[in-house]
Amino acid sequence: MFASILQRIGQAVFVMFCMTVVVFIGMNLIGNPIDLLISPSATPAERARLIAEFGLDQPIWVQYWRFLVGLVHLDLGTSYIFNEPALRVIMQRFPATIELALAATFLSVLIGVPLGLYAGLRPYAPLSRFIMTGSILGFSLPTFWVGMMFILVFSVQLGWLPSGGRGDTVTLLGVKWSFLTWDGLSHMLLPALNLALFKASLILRLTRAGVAEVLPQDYVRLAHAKGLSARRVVFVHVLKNVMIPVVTVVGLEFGSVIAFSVVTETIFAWPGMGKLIIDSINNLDRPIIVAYLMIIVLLFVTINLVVDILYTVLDPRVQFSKARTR
Amino acid sequence: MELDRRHFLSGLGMLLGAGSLLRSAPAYAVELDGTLIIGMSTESSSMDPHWHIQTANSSVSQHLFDRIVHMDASQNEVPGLAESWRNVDGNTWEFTLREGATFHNGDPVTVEDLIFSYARASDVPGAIFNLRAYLGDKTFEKVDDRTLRVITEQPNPIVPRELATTAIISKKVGETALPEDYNSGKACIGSGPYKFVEYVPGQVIQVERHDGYWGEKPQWSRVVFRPIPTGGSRVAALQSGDVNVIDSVPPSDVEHLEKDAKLRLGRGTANRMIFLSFDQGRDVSPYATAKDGSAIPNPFKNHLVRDAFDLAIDKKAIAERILSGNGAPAEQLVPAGIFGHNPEIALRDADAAKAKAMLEEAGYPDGFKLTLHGPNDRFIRDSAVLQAVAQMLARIGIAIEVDAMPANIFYKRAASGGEGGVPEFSFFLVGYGAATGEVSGVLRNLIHSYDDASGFGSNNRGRYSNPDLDALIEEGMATVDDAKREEIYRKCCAMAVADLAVIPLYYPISVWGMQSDIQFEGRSDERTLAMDFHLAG
Repeated sequence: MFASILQRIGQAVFVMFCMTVVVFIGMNLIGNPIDLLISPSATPAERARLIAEFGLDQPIWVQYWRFLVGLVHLDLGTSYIFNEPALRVIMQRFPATIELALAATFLSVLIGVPLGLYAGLRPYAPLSRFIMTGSILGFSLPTFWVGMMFILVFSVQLGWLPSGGRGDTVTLLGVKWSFLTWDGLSHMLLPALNLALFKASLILRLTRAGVAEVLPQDYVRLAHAKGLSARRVVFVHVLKNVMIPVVTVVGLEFGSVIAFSVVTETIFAWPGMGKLIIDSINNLDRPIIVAYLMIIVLLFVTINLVVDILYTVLDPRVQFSKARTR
Repeated sequence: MELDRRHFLSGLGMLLGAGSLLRSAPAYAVELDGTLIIGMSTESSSMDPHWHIQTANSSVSQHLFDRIVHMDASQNEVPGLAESWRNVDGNTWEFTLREGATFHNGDPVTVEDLIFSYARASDVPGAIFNLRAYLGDKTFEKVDDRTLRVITEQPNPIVPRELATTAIISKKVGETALPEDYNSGKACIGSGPYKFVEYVPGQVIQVERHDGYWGEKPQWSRVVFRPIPTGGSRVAALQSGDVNVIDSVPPSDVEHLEKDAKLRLGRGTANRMIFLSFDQGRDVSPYATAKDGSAIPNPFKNHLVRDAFDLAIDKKAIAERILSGNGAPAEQLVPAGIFGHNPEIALRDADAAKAKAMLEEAGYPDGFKLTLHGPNDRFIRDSAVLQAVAQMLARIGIAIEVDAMPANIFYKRAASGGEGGVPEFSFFLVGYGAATGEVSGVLRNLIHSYDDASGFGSNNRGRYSNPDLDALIEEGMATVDDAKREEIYRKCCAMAVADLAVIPLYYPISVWGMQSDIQFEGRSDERTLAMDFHLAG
């Protein structure tokens, strides 16, 4: 297992390296932040001075080399926009995103698994049909629209929940969290639900399909025949076997929520990283973009590792050392 | 099976029941000496007042930091930290510091603080949108405890306006401050009407009233700024009472907010011109070709062609229909009320038939082929404006194609994307606004011929050049007498418009939304300042 983890880290470093090269070349092709941000009253001499100050007049490989040198000193550069180290800018917004992603994932499992289980166990019940039809809506309605509807209904019309922002936070372990306050939770509910909707539908359908596949199998019949309670058959024998694809999807979706929750974050003015990366791309803030993508690569590798470990817990036949050859 | 429908539904019901218990705090009503919550479309990127001088940053920093001269709602100079100023001779100005102005830490504001602030503002490492354009040509001297002398290299009539851009910080605090000390609030010590309380990036900025303020005390004891980038969400936050004021009401929401009895809108025509620029420098312009794609001499060197374009474009229709009232048709370089505006220049009525005849007279009876470039994420509904312009020009026979692109690509190409690092486009949409609040910025940077050595015409991407006009602009820039200078600038505006240096299209109208018990008159510099909002009645 240890060797495997080392190998994962090696992979991550390699992917990060490739990605920084791609970002550097890509950003260089698009443009430079000077032309975008410079004062309209600045003289051509001032423009030239700024380009030199940022080293943007240097060939791309020199700029890249400087970046690598900084990296060795754990310096990912200073944001062109925020005047703070790129890593700090991202880390300021990281807790908000993680918190939202966890809440959304939790909600989607909480909604998706029981509904899917029910629909799988009683495929012909009217309620099951209703659930399945509802899940199509969950898939197909655009996040943006649903988010706006949530705000209109729950904030503007009913006045139950705040329309956006993060609410009160409590500092725990030096980081600000909002799930520890009532106000923070009420701010989190709508965006989390908005993010969870698509995922819940996905998990619901996966669970239902899994249940339908597992139910007719011999070991389930055997379990019934042995006289085990229905509860034990469903929640231990069926559910555990259904969970493997669900865990994979939950893991991947968790990663993508963290990396790409920009639409929800923007609508609900949630101060997370998703909006940061889009703004940074728009402003060509290269240090932020590079640092952000490096963190995301690291995150995905970690999530995959956790998912693999979970497999072995759910299904003892799966061995970790084999998992890496997938 | 034990998991039956009844259990399932009751579980679901419990979940929903729990959800409805979550009630947010009641909608905040504004009251005197209470809290004002402002929803901002753009987040301030730093609390350092000398970092990027963009509208959002300037809005916030103006609560915390005074300037030596302030600008009123239509960008006229009013006393700030200086109670008076005078022009000693062409190159020398003297400012008299007011007595009784103190920083938030209790220290009095001194001439040393002013000199230190100007030195720091022109030397913040990494600041791209910096203040050098306004401070570069000046030296600062202390005359006595209350007098600051400013000496410029050339006679400069707009020194007070240029200094109005720069926030005054405390020398004692600023000397040792690191960049991050501004965001933490440690170095955010100004002399403005509000004091720093909290800054959480992307989330909230809070300030509270500075009771020792020298000027008029604002009505709100606390101001909270919340960035809400999505237009629809910003409007929803206002409607639900989560915020009291929002900036940049989206055009699509203007109409229904106007009908809402609980809300009120405030408007201000921005001192910013959105315009179409022609390539007038190159003999052959790459995106203006014959209809079969072969190269032709640059048609925009012909005044008749530019005139025909101007006549073909219905600016009123664009302002009313495309921008839904979020723009006013522009007939010249700056809107009414701004120093240098020439009231004699009238908006022309569009006339496609006449424009077509002029194009024929210019030697293009069948028109020509052209690409119109522009950004698609910079101005209100910019892509739609581009499409509308294209359709209007198609009517007079121009085979026109629109190429709209994100601003991060557009500006590099517009400045230096062509062969040999020259501006690339033949015909394009851009905007210009100057912080000094009068016309000389537009004339100097946009209309004056491009000149690397002097820095004039730095934003003249079309390379329009008229030596007579250049001479007149330079004369105006050296004329200290306000009345004489205004006379000259009005003449410059008339010449630039008659010559069609560019086609002014519209001035954006900033629209603020607020609860109906708040009053606000609107501003021309697009800033949102709590000091401008008052309790109605």
